[in-house]
Amino acid sequence: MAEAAPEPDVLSEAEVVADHFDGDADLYAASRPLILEQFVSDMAAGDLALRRGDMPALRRIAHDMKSALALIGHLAISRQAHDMEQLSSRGGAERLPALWDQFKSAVSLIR
Amino acid sequence: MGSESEISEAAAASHWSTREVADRLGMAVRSVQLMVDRGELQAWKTPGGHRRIDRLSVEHWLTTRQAGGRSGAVGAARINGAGNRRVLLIEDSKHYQQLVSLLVKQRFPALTLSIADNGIAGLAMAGQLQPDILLVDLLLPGIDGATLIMSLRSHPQFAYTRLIVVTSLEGDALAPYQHALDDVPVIHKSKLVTELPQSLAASLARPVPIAA
Repeated sequence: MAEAAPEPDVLSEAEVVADHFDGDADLYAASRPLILEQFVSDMAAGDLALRRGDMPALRRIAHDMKSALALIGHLAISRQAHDMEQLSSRGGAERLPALWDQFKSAVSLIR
Repeated sequence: MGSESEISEAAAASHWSTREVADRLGMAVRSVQLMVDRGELQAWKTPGGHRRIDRLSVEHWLTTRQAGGRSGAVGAARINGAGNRRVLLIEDSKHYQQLVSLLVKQRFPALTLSIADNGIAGLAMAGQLQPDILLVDLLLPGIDGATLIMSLRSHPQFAYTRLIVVTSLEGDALAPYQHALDDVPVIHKSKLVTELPQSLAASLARPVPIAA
């Protein structure tokens, strides 16, 4: 039985527009900068949640960023957000600071 | 038989592109696409994949609307969002607040969209605005979307509010909320751009009962 192809790390812009924006390139062009701008606020909120040990807040931020990252085609980074969402809700919080730093670095490189 | 250019000119006069129809009707391109999907306008695609809309079907649609026929004028008014139709979005994600705002502004420019970012504020705004359509996320701070829906359902003043759930949950993760989702359209956030306009159009097109 053939193995399923692994999910790609990043979708092309054409794939994102076709798969997630119903072919509407204008809507994608309007949305993407807003999403990237909001990531800056999300990461600041995540820093604060981590400093306070507020796991429910961190889980919500990770959950939200997971969806937004997938929406614009950054699937590998979205999976990182999923991992943090799981850790912040199910335990393993000691791993979170290192993972959060890696995640923030990856998000900050998105252009 | 006419020349090729004469035949081509005649063909061009008998149909319009989606953009041309949108410009003539004063609508967004996507609204025209939805009208074609619903069979209100007759259309086909060229071998190159370009949509062409039958001119006579557009003129018929306009005539029906101008005559004030109930299915035409009222339906069109609903779909265009005329008559101050209100949508309340209860969603804590800024990303999805922005995306829904852009989508509604683009496809339903006459709709009034209000936004609450948690369940408690959402309930208060629903009472204040009594929206025609309520878009609800399931995972909300305060009270969750399912609890909010059940609360609204217990109040007769919301009997005519159409509900649409927007969520990133799927499969088993939806199970705890299923009790609130009977007969409610549920749109996964990954398909929001594709499915929400259709769901909004369908909700707007349903006739609103005349108040006693």
